[in-house]
Amino acid sequence: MGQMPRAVWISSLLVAAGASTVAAKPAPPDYWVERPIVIAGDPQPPPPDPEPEPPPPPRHASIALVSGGTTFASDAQTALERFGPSGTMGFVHLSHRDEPGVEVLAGATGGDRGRSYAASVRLVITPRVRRKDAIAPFLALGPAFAIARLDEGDMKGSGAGLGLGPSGAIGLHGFLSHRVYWRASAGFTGAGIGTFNTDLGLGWVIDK
Amino acid sequence: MRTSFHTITSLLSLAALATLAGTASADDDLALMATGAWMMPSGEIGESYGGGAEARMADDHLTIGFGAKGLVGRTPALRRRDIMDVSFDVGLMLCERCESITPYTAVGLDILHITTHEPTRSVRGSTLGLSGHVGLMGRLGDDEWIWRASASYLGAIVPGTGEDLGGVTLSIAVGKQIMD
Repeated sequence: MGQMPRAVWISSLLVAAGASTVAAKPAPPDYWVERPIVIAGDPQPPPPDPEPEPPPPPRHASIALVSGGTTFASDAQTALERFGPSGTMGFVHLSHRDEPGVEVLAGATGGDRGRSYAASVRLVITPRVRRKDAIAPFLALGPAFAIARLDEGDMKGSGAGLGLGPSGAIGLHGFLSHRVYWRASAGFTGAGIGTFNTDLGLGWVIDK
Repeated sequence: MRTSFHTITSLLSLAALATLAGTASADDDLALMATGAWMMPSGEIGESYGGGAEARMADDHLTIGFGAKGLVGRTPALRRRDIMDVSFDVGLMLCERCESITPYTAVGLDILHITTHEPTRSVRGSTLGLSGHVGLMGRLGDDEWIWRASASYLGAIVPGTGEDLGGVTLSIAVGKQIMD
């Protein structure tokens, strides 16, 4: 009987200790944060440097382009007979806004039936293509000049000279990375011999 | 004579390019369209088939197109022609309130390279042509898709033979608005 008050007393102490633990306010989060010592009269510390702004996205791309492909030209018997391989190099200027681009290309093609060197200046009409756009359609058209020689049978150089005419191409193009450009196209160079061509090209963006 | 032809052709080409460049940047409604064409020349010349693409601006009642297409003479005939054509045309849409379909008419300037294949030889060269177009044009779905079907007459003198190119070309085109 004499033990009961002691047990109640100990239980009361435990309950009170638990309740005080639960009711205790947590320490403020910066309670132990080390703060700089400020002495009256000292100048204010300089503000931290602002975050550098990211560079603006490029507004256009000037591209050095190299491409290769195959040309076709009809003869008296066969439509669209293979004429020979072709190589093209030049510059393409594309806007990253809703504006057409421009390209200047020079190419050579040749085979058993002749040889042709051509240069063209073309407008490039395409949906907006930015550096992150991997694929978009395009249409290129404009005038072309060609210096050509045509061989018919055993008669080499049956036709030769400088010609001027239309040039056009349709295809797909885009950017593989910030610097690498690609295109695949089919079109024609209507100067000199008059050839249809298919091309696959890679370009390098020469501006930032 | 040949030099002056080249000079005139160059100037016209550059003027057309400059015109479209200015138009495309100034106007917001430009579509890029794929084209299929079937030319039926007059005289004993085989038909030519081909395709290409065109950029077409269509406002309330004005339409301007600039395209390139290549046609190959594939019909077995005594004579056939390959035609490469860069064209610029300006036209009027004849029904201002018609959204999905409207008739239109246009006239155009064509820069052409024509190769005429004969049984024993092929003659080729470049020239200029003038074309007249009549057809229907409209929009599909959410108005971003544009279609066109037309018949045109292309007038030119064929290099090397001196013939009239003549004939009717039927063409259809479908494309999507790329600048809005």
